[in-house]
Amino acid sequence: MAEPYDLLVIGGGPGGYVAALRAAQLKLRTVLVEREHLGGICLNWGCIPTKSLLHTADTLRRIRHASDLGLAVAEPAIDFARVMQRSREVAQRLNKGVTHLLRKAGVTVIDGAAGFAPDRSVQVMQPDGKTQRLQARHLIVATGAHPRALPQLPFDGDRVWSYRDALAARSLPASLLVIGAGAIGMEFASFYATLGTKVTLVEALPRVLPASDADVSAFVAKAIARGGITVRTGVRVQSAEVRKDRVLVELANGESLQAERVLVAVGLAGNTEGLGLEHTRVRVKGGLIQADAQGATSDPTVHAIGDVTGGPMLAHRASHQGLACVERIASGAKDGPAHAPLIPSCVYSHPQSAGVGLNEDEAKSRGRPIRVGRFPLDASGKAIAIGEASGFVKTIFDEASGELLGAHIVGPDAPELIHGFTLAATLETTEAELMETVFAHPTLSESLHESVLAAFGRPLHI
Amino acid sequence: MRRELVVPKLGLTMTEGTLLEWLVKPGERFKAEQGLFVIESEKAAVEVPAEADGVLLEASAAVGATLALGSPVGYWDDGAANEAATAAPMAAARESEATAPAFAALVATSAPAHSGIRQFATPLARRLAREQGVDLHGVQGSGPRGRIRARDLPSAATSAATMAVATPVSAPAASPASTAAGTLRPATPTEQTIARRLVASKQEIPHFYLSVEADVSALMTLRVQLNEANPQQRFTLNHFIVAAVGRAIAQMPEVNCVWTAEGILSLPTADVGMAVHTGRGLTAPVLRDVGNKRLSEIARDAAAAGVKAQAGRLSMADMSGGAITVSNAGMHDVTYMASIINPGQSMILGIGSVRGVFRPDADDRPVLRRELGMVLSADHRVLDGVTALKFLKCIVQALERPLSLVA
Repeated sequence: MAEPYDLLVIGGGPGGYVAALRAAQLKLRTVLVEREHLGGICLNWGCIPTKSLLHTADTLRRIRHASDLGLAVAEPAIDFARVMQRSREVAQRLNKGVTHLLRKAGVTVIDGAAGFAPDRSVQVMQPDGKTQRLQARHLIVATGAHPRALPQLPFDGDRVWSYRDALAARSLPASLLVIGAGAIGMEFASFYATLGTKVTLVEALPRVLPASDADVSAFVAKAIARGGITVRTGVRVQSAEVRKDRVLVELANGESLQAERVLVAVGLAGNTEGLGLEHTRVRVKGGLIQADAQGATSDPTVHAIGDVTGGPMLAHRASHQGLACVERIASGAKDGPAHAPLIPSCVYSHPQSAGVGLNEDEAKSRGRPIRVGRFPLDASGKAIAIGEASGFVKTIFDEASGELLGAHIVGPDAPELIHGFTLAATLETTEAELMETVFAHPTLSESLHESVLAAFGRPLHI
Repeated sequence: MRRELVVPKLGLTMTEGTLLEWLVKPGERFKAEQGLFVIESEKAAVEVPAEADGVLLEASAAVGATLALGSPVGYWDDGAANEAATAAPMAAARESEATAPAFAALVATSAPAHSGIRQFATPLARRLAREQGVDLHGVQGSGPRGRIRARDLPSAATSAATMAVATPVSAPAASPASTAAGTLRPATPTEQTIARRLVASKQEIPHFYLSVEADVSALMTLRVQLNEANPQQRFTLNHFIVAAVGRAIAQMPEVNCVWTAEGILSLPTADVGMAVHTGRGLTAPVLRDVGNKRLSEIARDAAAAGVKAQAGRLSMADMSGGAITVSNAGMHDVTYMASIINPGQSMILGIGSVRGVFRPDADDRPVLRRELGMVLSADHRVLDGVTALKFLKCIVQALERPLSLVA
């Protein structure tokens, strides 16, 4: 057997490939094993291709509202096949980019499915049926997650879709039932509804975007209902029947729904099966590997990062954890404070939303006084000028210390705007520095400033 | 005033020590005599107490570092004013006249009173430190380039850094790691030291063991009588055993010796170590000149050493010397205990519980006796079996004729 590698990464998603790149920078002899596509779900079947689709939807919406801006434009024709093709092209281009980056960094990439053997070496089953045995001083499991199925609605790739099917549809469905109003469900509901599909959204929890701040959920729910999406919250799917041309679904409250297709987006489960994890000392609980913020597990040589370790299941969180993990491995540190960084979460449906830190309910549950500031975008000059004066910026502070506990934005480019607060909170600025900072006029970002002022009773434009 | 903390000399032969543990965090207040850090010499790990009330400014030496005698491990503030401390705020005040008031407050706190070195701290950390009266100088920052964050302040456990905490992340590494094979917890520095010393002792010293039973019926009766006669002065069984060992050494000074790299060292006084179980583990203060002391003096010394041990304030000197330690497990219901010799000594006497047993008398009739099981572990490089057995018999005789211990 060849000399062992310093690091073996299983999974080439945003956690794994970023970890491998950093490891190569740190001069670790690194090998990455990927069973399907470099770039993982994010790049191939997640974040990136959906952003391509949602950009199409946003552009369509703008064209439809062009008359408000004094532009007479006819209703555009939708070339659905081209819309989907562009999304695939974007993914393919970036996939090539990751391949190139890994090659340039000197990371050995092996195609195949990896698993731990009883002697703790890693066995790779290659696409051509050959197996290869690898040894490494350190291992990172970054195998990601897969969509959770509903027992009454198993995925069939035709009538019952996972997000992957929704990204590869051959025709625009006349009607679509989306089950699950988290980020994935919301984004597809928004995309298909904008293109003309009749969309119904069903969520078992009491509100859409259940992980978001309650104000964000309420605002978004109202906005999408106005946009034509039928929303049902606080109700589960009781039973379902898949017919040749449609799916019939009965909800627990007795309501019957039917649609041409159903998208099941009820969450993700970690990819821990078939990895031979029983030959390691890692602890798997509920299908997730137990790991800290730096990817350390209960096995000193096996690390785990990203979705396979649980939530928040976000690409940027996986990448950050991958970096922290590799840096710990390279430094030789056994342990150390594994403080979880602040992780912003973003939803690109219409309206867009983003948040970082605690939501108001969580902040209240700390039992210490807080201050909350809200600034509506209909008071923002820039938002009005661009015809997007819908949304708000909300900030939550600890009253005693002035610590920024959380921030939540709904409105145009919310996922871009949130970084002002992510940076501020990571640097532990208090309300004083945020107030001292000069924000350019006219910008949407001014609303961040106003929200902070509002939290301390001194807003200027409301 | 800023003052230095150095590696103290803990024993005659000590030239360097290893910093095992900091017991206070930078920025934390401490009282005189409170333990500040733990230093390990070749003999033992010792807590170094504070000489006066103060605040730890800086823990400059890292845990695990081996340092020469007298080298600095950190800095503390004794609370006394000095020139630098009064000069810095004045400079900050001058600066603040030219800036906006809110900003001036930040500038003033970012200029440390104790040195000219700029201390980088987040705004939140500076504000919390100001409100809590924590001196940021010397607080170890966990941020990039040592930037101090709110979570680095001594009060972090009860305050701030709330956003980071809110992100749910399972962290088995910080707590004991559990696997199907069991639960793994990293050993503390103290546990590692104890482990190292025990392994060294058991591997280097050729132990041999002698076990006997002493009839302590008379001693038990005498002890009750003495304690009833003078309730102010309580004698324990252990006091008698330590005294008996001391008398035995005085009778047989040839056993009072230890193996050293240079040769066999005979000790001048009949000192006896006494194992004390504390919350931090086992320690063994050494009682001096036991062979020449009255039982009441031994009881007094033992009590004082016990108090000091429980408070974690034994010095290296308190624990060094002596050829033998008495380790009493009698309260734990055990008949015999064969112990590992403390490094630097040549014997240890393991004491079991007092048992009521029937023994045949001269006419083979059963008689109830109170017996104490004892096991002497001895270093065969220093003692042969016959000498050790003779010594053990001396101890038994003293215990069986307890009046000799009181006389």
